[in-house]
Amino acid sequence: MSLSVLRRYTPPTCTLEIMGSQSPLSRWMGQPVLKQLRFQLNLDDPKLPEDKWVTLRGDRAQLDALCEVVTTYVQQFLEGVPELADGRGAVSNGSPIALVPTLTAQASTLQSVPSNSAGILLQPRGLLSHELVLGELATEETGSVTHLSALQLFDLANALDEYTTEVVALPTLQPAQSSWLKRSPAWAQIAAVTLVVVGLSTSIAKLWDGSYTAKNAAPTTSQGASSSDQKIATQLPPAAMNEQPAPLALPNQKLPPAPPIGSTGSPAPGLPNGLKPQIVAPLPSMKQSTTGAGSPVPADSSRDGFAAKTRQDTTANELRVAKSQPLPAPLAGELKPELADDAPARRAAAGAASRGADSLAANESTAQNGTPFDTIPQVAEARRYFQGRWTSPQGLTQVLEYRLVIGANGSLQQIIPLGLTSGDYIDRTGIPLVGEPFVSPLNSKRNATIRLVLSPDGRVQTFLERVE
Amino acid sequence: MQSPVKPPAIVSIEALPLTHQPDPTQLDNIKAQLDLVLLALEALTGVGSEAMLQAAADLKLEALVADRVALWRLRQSSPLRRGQGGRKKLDVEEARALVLISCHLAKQHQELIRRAVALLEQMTEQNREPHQAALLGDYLDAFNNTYQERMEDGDNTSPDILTHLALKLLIDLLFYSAASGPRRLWLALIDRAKK
Repeated sequence: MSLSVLRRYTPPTCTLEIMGSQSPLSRWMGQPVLKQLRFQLNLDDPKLPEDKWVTLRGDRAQLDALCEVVTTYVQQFLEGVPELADGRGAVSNGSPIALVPTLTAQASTLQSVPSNSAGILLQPRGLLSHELVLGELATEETGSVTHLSALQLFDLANALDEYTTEVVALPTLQPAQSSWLKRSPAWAQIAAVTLVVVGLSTSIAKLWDGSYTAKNAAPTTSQGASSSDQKIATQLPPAAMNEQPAPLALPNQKLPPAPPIGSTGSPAPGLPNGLKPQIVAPLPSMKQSTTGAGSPVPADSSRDGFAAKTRQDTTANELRVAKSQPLPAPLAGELKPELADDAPARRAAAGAASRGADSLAANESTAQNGTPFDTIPQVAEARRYFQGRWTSPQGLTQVLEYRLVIGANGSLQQIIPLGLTSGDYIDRTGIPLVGEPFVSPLNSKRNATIRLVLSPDGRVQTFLERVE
Repeated sequence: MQSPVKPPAIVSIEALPLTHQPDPTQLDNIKAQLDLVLLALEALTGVGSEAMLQAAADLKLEALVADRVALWRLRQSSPLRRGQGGRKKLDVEEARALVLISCHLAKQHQELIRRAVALLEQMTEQNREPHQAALLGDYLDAFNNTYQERMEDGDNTSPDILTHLALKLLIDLLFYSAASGPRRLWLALIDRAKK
């Protein structure tokens, strides 16, 4: 069973690859079933000598942990703008501008900070350098710590951001993860999935209607960045402006710990090989999926005969169990209203919400016929449409790609060729004219964007890019 | 049949969540921060009010930032600014509009911002003063001059502190120039204001 790269993000100083493998069950289901999501992150800044390049590998839970750590850290970094307020402190001791690592004092306090369950932690080493403690991701080659420059942190944050916005559409597949699930009988696994879904749907519904606050935010046990210096540094009484500036404090040197999101990663259920998560969350919730919390991501299973049957068979069990089964501890934490006004928690929630909001589920993979990702039927309809029409013109050597915007009534609204060749061949693709009926009407959605990939070997692939 | 390529998706104001209504002091902090972010952008890229108004038009925010005077009044609302005349209360919608405008401009100049940060890393590595690199030297001079000219405490703030502030803002700008920039800036503003 080989792992194939599903997604690749390539900002200038790192490469993030998301991999998965096809389950043998694919044969029975007539479509690829992906499992064992893995990632490989190459910190391959071309400016660094190759022997300083670092490669990190891990599973889905570890990647989610990394995402959360980086996102939270970046946000805290940005909140640490030195201000010319009454708290104006020194430009830190040492270098004139404190851009080099001079923060040994802070480092010692930071080390006591609990990291997440994967042991991943980021801490500042001056404005331009950040120390990434690798935790579970550490290997003999990488050592336990690696350093990121400002540009590397920026690129890494963006790659992970892209991943989190896209991964919403991918099924959660981490079969080797939660050992308590492995020991549990099948009905318990399904019940657990149901519980997670119910819990998440509730939180998501709150996120969705805009009423989320610190009280129903993502769980965290970390302290908010609320040290008194920061409080001072963020107030700007005009009266203080005329005083001789005291040394400028750098609030970002006192970063609180990243929320231990790893703990929230664990309730994401392990799944039996090849069995797709049976999740009944409505489509809008998928957009809002709290990826940061390592949530299981709903895969559309409406066309998934085998799994659907399993689901029917177990529905009764599920319901009974859902009532009696106590919540898994981390999940209970997640559902419990967090009364403390916890900035990181709220931020995590807000971040997750807007992450969901500002880019919708993009569905694609390099898997042939990518049907597990057809979250709306129109994707499959579009594929069938072209499978009947696409014959590769003589001499075509390149893959043609188009972005097709489909209106609420199922007609084609816009065609965007991706790349010059795609533009040249557009009249030979069989794409209908703009305004012509194309697929069945969208169900209460304004429009959908589908990516069409036509290969010279006659292959047709369609992927959902976004639904609005 | 070929359709024009759509302009990049515009982040709408609604995408910037607000979990609580900032009180006047918090709004003051937000105003001051936003004005500084724009000041850093101006100093690095040379964008002026023309570009900011154009950005407002691109983002369909004319209702909030209609003309040069409106923009001036918005920016003048920073409590750090010299002079009280013409100062206007900045409301949350206007703050959001300025967030979107700042990030839109940062995105347009991402390459330059990235180059400046790369230079800063290089100079720091070589233990050299950032001023010695022309791009950074010009940026720091422009930032310091504008700050001293516009801000109430401009004359009393040491150049070292201003340099540090300018460099921190430069690195922040890089993060704001990404697709998720508006969210990052907005959350930074409201979270910081809350503390």
